[in-house]
Amino acid sequence: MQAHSNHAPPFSLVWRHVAVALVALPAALGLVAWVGPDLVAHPRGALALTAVHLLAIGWMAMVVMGALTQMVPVVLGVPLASHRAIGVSHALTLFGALALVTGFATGFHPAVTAGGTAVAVGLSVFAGVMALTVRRVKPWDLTAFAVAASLGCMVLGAALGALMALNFRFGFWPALYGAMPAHAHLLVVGWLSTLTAGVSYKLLPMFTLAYGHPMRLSRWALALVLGGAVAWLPTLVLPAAWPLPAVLQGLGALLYAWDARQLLARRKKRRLETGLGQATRAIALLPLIVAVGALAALGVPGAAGAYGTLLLLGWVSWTLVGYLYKIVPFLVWVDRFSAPSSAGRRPLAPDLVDTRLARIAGDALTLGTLALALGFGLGLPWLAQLAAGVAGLGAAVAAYDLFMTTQRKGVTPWKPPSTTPSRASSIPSSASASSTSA
Amino acid sequence: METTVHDALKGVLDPEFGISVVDLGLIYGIVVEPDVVTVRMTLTTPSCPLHDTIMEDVEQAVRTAAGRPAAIELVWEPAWSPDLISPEALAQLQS
Repeated sequence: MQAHSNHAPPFSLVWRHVAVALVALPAALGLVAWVGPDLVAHPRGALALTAVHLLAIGWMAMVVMGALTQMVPVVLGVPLASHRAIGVSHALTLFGALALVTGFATGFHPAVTAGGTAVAVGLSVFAGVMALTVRRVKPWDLTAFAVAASLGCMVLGAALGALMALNFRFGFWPALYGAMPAHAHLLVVGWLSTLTAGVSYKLLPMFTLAYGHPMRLSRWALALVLGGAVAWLPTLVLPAAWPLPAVLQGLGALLYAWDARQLLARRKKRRLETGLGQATRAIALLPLIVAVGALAALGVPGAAGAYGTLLLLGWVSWTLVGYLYKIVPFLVWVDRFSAPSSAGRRPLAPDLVDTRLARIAGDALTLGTLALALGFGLGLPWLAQLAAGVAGLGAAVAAYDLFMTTQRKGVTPWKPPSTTPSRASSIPSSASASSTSA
Repeated sequence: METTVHDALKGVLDPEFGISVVDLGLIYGIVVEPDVVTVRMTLTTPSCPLHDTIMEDVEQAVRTAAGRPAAIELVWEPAWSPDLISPEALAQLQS
């Protein structure tokens, strides 16, 4: 397997997804801040559904689609099966998200039905393109498997969501009203978590130079997470079966957190930039999410809201924001500075972001998320409102910082520290093809 | 001439880490012949997203330093490992 950066898709194809996502995250958190008391009182009400779908589709689905459009061809070394179809899936998903959240917010059921259907079709088109692309990868490794499996969960979760939207309108299957846990976990655990965990096994070693990590536990962790997500399906007909998926995905999450910690312990680059720091914070949060999830399963009041907040805003969103801080500068660097004619006036890719703003954004998002979970958990509307405002501010700062990163043209070139004789520099002048610096 | 090429390659930086391909231990060998310079090298991972950029920069650096075209032999055996990073670069990474 050999990757080529010229497999990378056009900047605009990736950026149109990321731009929507960076608007949707602060918007969703702003909505939560605005209607916090209503959300605490009615966690499954219309406004909660509006906020959750703005977050899940506008932010998460969009950023994941953009990130996959960028990373799959580059990291897995195969060209995308179709750029045009990715554009179509983006348009369908964006239209669907707008219709869906408008429908939930206004109670206009036809918009919910149309939006849910458009989102399901849009995500299915995207999954189809990715499946055709990943199929070309040889040999498959854990990340390729995770991408493919997560796409399967995305289609299942989106199809179930579309079915729920139709049922919402026509009421043909009463049992579907209880399908919310299966729908949510297929998407958040099966799709987003399997994907982010699977991709992390490529990105973390690459960005931190952490090599030589044995993958045995990694495979088990992903198998448990994925198995847990899929095991939610039988609960559609057998609701009492919920402990099985809950236990499987909880064990998978804990095992992944442990395994990722072991991987990072091998890293040669000690200091993590703000983006990777945010992604590792997300990993460190997993044991708390499992514990709060267990409380929610036991029916502790307020725990379900705290669990959902930590899962969506903590684990998934911190990870996505963290990786965006790697993906966006990389995109800009390749777009503006990779040509040989740019040599000598190049910055380092990580230096394209304003690290001070990145730190402020990360800390506000972290603090806001934890306080929001506490606000939901303890039933304190004022805390939920305040916390959502802080998290929303953090998201807005991150959006501004990443947008400004795309505007960078002239930046101070990076120069290496004054060079001292290195081990490798001792190659004798008679070096031949058989001589190596290693 | 090998030393000249080698020193020129110290100016080819990995844009993620700010460390040269030499100090990262990516250069396995340099052979200078009358009409071509062959550079045998690897990357930190086959999935390296900057594959093409680094190849082009190495080619450009060799051409400038040696005044003749470069033939880059990209190999995956022996696989790159962090043990190949120079002590100076390692200190930079761990600071």
